[in-house]
Amino acid sequence: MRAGFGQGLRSNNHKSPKSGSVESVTILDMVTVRVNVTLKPSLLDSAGRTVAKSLQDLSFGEVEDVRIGKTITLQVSEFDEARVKAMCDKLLANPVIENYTFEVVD
Amino acid sequence: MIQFPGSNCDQDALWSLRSDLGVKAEYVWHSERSLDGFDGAFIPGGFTYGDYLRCGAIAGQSQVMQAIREMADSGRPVLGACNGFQILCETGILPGALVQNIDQRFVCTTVHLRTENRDSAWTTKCPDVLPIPVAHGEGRFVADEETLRKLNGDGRVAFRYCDETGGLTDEANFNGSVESIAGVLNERGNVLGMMPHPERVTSKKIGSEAGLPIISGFLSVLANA
Repeated sequence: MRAGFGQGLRSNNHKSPKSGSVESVTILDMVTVRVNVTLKPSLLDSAGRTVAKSLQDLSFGEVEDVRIGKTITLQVSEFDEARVKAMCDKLLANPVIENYTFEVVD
Repeated sequence: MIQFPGSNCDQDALWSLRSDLGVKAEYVWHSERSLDGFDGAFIPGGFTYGDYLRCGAIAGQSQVMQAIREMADSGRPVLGACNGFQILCETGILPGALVQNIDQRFVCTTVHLRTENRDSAWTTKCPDVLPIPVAHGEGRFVADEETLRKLNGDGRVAFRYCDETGGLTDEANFNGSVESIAGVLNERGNVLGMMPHPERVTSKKIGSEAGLPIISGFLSVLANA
């Protein structure tokens, strides 16, 4: 919700009074980075285990295991892999219990 | 007494320090850079920053935590209870991490703790078994094997969850912590983090003073420093 609101504001700011809406959207130069954080495989994911049990109860018997992670979507003015890695190491993931990956998405 | 947005055990803990331990204690807001003039710090329980991202993650980045790190390095006493323990682990001042309880439940009750090592200034006055309240949903202590080896080898496990006779049972280890660990010390032994709340039981007037030996660790650490 918030990302959408921010994008809307930014495109309005860039829009000249007579330009069309298509142009105003294409001016956006934000980069979207998707960070995926998961509990380390060695750790029991108690929430995942509960969800697996519930899926099995719903007759999805093929479900052997469920792991729940989280997706953090960043809007950055420029992408610098080392800086995103630093964000993950310093705050977004806890290296004691979590692994992470990230990718730039369109 | 460090306060963050979302701290909620700060008033009980301040009362405990002032009234039951009999020391001077003041609130310190998380944006403070300096703890000059203070001999020790209590990081209280609560749900700092709504537990967003991970419990204690955002609070761990606060300016005051750099001062806490300096206090810890200087050998002065630092106690983190519940969310305070989570914050100390998030900053790396204490090892390991706290994750969701094994059965997903928030548990609010009184549990028994077994004192593991009385060589520490924090535990020197503790009896073998102490009944102390807990109130948390994310208190399952985890650490890798090497960390556990060090903690055990160096006598840095302060308390384990036990039954009322001191037995380490699966049932007593209600949150599923590795090796039933309820509280740990830093290398120097002046920083204690624990999920239970000793500050809630420091006066017979409110039912129990079982936590007083732990809280009085502030004075024992300073006496040893």
